[in-house]
Amino acid sequence: MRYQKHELLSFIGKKQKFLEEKTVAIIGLGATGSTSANLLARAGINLILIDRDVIELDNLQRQTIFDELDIGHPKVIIAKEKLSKINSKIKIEAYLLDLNYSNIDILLKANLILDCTDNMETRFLINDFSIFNEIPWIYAAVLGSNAMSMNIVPNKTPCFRCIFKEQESLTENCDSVGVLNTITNLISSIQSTEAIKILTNQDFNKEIFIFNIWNLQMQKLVVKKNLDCKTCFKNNFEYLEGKKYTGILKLCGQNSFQIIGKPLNLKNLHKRLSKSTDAKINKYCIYSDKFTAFSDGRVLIKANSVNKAKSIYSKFITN
Amino acid sequence: MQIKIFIERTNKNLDLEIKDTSKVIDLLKSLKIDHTTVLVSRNNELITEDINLNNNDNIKILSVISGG
Repeated sequence: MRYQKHELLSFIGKKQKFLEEKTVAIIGLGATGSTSANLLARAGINLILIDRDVIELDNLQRQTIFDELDIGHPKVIIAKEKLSKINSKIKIEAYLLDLNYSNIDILLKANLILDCTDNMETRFLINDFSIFNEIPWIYAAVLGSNAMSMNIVPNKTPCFRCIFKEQESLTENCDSVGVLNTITNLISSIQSTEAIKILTNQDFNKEIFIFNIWNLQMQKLVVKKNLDCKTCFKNNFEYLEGKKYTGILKLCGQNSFQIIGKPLNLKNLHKRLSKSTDAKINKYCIYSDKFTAFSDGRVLIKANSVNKAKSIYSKFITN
Repeated sequence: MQIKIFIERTNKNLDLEIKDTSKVIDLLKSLKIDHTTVLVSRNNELITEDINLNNNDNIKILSVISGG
């Protein structure tokens, strides 16, 4: 009964059962990730949720499963709680961590990976993992009123690195341009639809999809394999091997950086910080207007440059 | 030769006169656009920076986006 409306569809029908046997990993639980997770949970698909961040007030404009009471709590923990209430029949694993080459094997159980991240470095890592392990993934990204999506299915489509280049930094990001809250829902719906097609072994989109929701302009562009591709032709998996790992990452949103250091004793750190700052603590992290620190050593810092981020890290965390 | 280009970032259409042997990378350099930050399409197909441009091409320069 729960999935009756899917089962009535000629292109899903009995294939709904396939969905209930599958597991999708969602990397990033921001605007696209939380919406895709919501749709796939309701479709009966088991989930692996991965995110490194906590919920902030300015997330609520577009991150549709969170509310004001969730501020300061990790996205992945709150998302699991809410999705479990939406569909108690599915299995949900939640990982509060920064996905990198040393922990990416948690994706081996997934039949499909959804990229809902906010940075290219993690996408190149997911691409290496996908090609090496032959697990498909779906790129999705938003900026302003624009969105892009592309299915990467090993041996059937070009890979991400056939198309996209490594870059120092993009000149435009969500800090400078903003994000319209309707475009994130649209790209999540497209990403989730393509996920359902791939998981039920049906024909899927093999072009790169680009949409501007404000102008209602849609483009589907043919993509070709790059015969010089480092990943899918030369089998150079330098992101998967950790050769490209920097340990410091510019995040999308509010001029944020992530620095990974040694594991932290949150209680001791909070005791020290409480003398000089208004930092608050919960069972997952310490958070203030300048940073959020996790016990695994990750610290998210509000700063307008790498050097400023390092300076804040040094002042509050390592001293 | 003559080409028409649309630059999505600035929402501008341009008619340009370029050398006959120009490649995509030459066009991007002349426009001072970092080739790693854009995708370039011709006739609804993505093209790489080493591709030769043709007279009367309609080229779109689209920004790579990364937010989630």
